Amino acid sequence: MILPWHIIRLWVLISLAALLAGVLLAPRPTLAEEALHHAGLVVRDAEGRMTYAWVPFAEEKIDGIDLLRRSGIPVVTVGFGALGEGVCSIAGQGCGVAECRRTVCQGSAADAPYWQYFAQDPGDPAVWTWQPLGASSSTVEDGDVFGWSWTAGDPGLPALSPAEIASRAGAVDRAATESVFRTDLPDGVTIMVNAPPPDGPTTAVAVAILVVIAGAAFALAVWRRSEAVA
Amino acid sequence: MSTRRARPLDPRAWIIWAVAANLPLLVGRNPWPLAATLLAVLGVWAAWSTGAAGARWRPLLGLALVLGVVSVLFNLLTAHIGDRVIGVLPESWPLIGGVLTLNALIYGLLSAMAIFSLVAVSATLGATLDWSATMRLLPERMAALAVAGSVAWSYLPRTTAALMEIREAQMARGYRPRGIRDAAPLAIPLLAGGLERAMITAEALEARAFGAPLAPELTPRPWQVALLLGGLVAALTGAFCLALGQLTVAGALLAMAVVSLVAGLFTGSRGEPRLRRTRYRDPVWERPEWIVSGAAIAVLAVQIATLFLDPAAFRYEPYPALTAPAINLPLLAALGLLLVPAAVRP
Repeated sequence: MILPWHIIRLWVLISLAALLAGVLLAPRPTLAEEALHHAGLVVRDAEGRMTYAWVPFAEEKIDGIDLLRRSGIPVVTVGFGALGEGVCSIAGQGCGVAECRRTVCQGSAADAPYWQYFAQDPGDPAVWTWQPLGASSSTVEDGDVFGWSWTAGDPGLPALSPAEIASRAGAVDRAATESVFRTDLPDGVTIMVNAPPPDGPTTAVAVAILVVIAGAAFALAVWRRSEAVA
Repeated sequence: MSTRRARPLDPRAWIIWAVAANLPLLVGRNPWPLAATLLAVLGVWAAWSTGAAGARWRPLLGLALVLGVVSVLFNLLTAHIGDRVIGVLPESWPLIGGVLTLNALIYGLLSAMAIFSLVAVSATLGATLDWSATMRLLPERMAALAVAGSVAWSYLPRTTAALMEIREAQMARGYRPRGIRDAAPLAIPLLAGGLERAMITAEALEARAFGAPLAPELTPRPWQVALLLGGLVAALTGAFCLALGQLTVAGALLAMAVVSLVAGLFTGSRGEPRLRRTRYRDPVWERPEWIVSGAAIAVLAVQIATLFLDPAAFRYEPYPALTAPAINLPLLAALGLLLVPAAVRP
């Protein structure tokens, strides 16, 4: 039996409305304070800036991408379907989304750096083990510490215990209920700043150029079409 | 008023213009050069797309609009990145679950603008190029490739024209399209007609000895075929690297492509007789062609200099935070020269 077209349309509209209502009214997850777990995160960029984060989470375990996102550090990732997420940039270091989708920021040279993911050995904080399957496939549990380093090989991550990482991140104690992070700058290195936005006069001239191009395009098109009609 | 009949511009001038117009669309998503290029290309399209040729290529622009909308939706639903959240889909939904951001919406719109502009450049070429003159520009050894390319390029306008004819014929029989389920009376004759046209084209090519084995003295040597293939692969890879912004690799590959193609195409076969191509009408290269190609080369020079000196002028990422894109005023002013084909009258 084929349903009439207007019934199908009505069904589609009702489904879309229900979907929209579900999206807008869905309750946000909240952290249950009494059952919080914590994990540490250390990020080292190309110029040696060290960012420490201490992240609470209510679940028994989360994955490495969740840990990075919940830390509050500015991060850009792209999805690769069942392979998980690729990390493009952390705290402004990395590459754009388009390049990230092609290469995950890894250049063609053997010593080209990219964001590499490491896990700290719980028994020896000086040992950082590279995680070849990436952050989406890693499991983060209470007390774990993970590291990200913009490097081609050596992680360059410090030998700090979870308590020291929590302290450097700015957590009052290891039972913090909110994510905190802080960046330490090596001598002679400043914070990473974005290029300043174009000033007003430059923007005005750019808009004027576009208006002139649009006006010229319109005038030429009208002229050529009237000529063609004639 | 002059009564001189307008002639088409030489294909070489159009091809140089198309290269200059495509470059900013391929190398980045900065909205300023994208907007300047789109405006200029639309101006040229509107000026040259009069008549039947323009009507045949116009549906392609409609298709590009649909592709643009798909691109915007795809990016919005799959790129869960950015600081301006406008909605949330349940995380449990595969692929599309997560936050929806204004950043992703804007990047999708910029990609849609680039796609539409690329299609507009192709539609302008399709409506204006003198195809037989273009085919004659190719070296003799690429004649088979030229014919195959010509047949492929004419597929869309011929299919569009056939669709219009079928629609008119069906409407004359009382057919009134009301929805997607009414497409069958159009699709089936279109498919049958397409197969019939393919057979006719194949017979016409066969009758003109297309694909027939050449005389032994005219057959290219294996090393010439290898050079041709290598040159084409190097040219395509170089163009891809150029689009990725890897200028050094792109330059090396394109230089290698030129050397290989020249060596493969223009080396003789120990003085043996070659195919002689005759012309009824020589190509015309006059002042309009000089103006269009000169303007396009000037635009290309500014673009390449900007790529080396200020690559941010072409690139823009609204992730992770929405920021104002960089502006390069000389580049924007130079892109205005892409309008020149609309101003000349050959």
